[in-house]
Amino acid sequence: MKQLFIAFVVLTLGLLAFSTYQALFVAPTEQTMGEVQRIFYYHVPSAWTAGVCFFVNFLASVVYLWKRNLASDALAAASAEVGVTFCTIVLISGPIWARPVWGIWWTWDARLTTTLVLWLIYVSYLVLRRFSAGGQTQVLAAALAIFGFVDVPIVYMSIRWFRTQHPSPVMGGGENSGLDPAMLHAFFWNLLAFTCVGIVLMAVRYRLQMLEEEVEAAHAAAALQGGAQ
Amino acid sequence: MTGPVALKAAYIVTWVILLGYLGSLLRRFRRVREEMKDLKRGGFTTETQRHRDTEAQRRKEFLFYHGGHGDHGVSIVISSPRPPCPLW
Repeated sequence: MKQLFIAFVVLTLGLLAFSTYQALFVAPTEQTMGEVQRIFYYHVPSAWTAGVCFFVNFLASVVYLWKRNLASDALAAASAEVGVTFCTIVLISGPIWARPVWGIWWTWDARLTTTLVLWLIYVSYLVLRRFSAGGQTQVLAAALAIFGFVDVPIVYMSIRWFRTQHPSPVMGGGENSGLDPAMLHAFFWNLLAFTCVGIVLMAVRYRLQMLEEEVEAAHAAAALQGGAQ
Repeated sequence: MTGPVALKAAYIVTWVILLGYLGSLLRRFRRVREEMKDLKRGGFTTETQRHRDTEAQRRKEFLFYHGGHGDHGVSIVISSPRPPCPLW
């Protein structure tokens, strides 16, 4: 299992190197925006990976409420943290792109605002897990995760439902949407690479969570031994 | 901010966040492994001791405000069964 994981990490690193090369040197420069458009190759895959992580968090939370097993709770914790990390990248790289293109760092349009709300929901989820005391923390966190996930499809649909300053959908957005094939190629490599990075980070964080649970159990055993003496 | 500068800034920020997060995970791994080693040796790390003190302080405060007899409709819930509490 460990060897398989190491092989996956090596594959991910290779993919990252290749996709970065594709994004920075192979993909053609966009006519209107110029070089800054290349942020798209990091910004959108980060948003996608955050969405995948939050979906995993949602599924793991449902399974935890159903089965109450430690593994699904650990997976929920891991996916939320990794999702917040990628969502942070989205919220920072977006304004960096917006400044030269729109002339402003931020505007309260539907896509940006719902993404910020999404980030805040999952940060509050992590804060709840970190600082809440009592035996119901995992249950409360799972419930919050399930309700919080409602915002993910809202974020995705916001540029379809509302007329926003954020660019309209590049793919599946109607007749005039779409990417140049060379751009699409680079975009998909980056999407794959970022998804793999997300999986690697989730796996590492999951392992850490399980080790922390083991330490807690060992402390409990030590405490019981101490109490019995 | 010009386009190429923004592009560089976005790429740097992305990698700083990802590598920073990976670094924090590895630090936490090291800490947990050290704690496991200490537990196997039968001792407590400084961090665990600090946690135990905090839990004890919380329990003291709880008992001070709620009487600690369990007759106020409040049950004492043990947040985590980690360290032995000095009040038990």
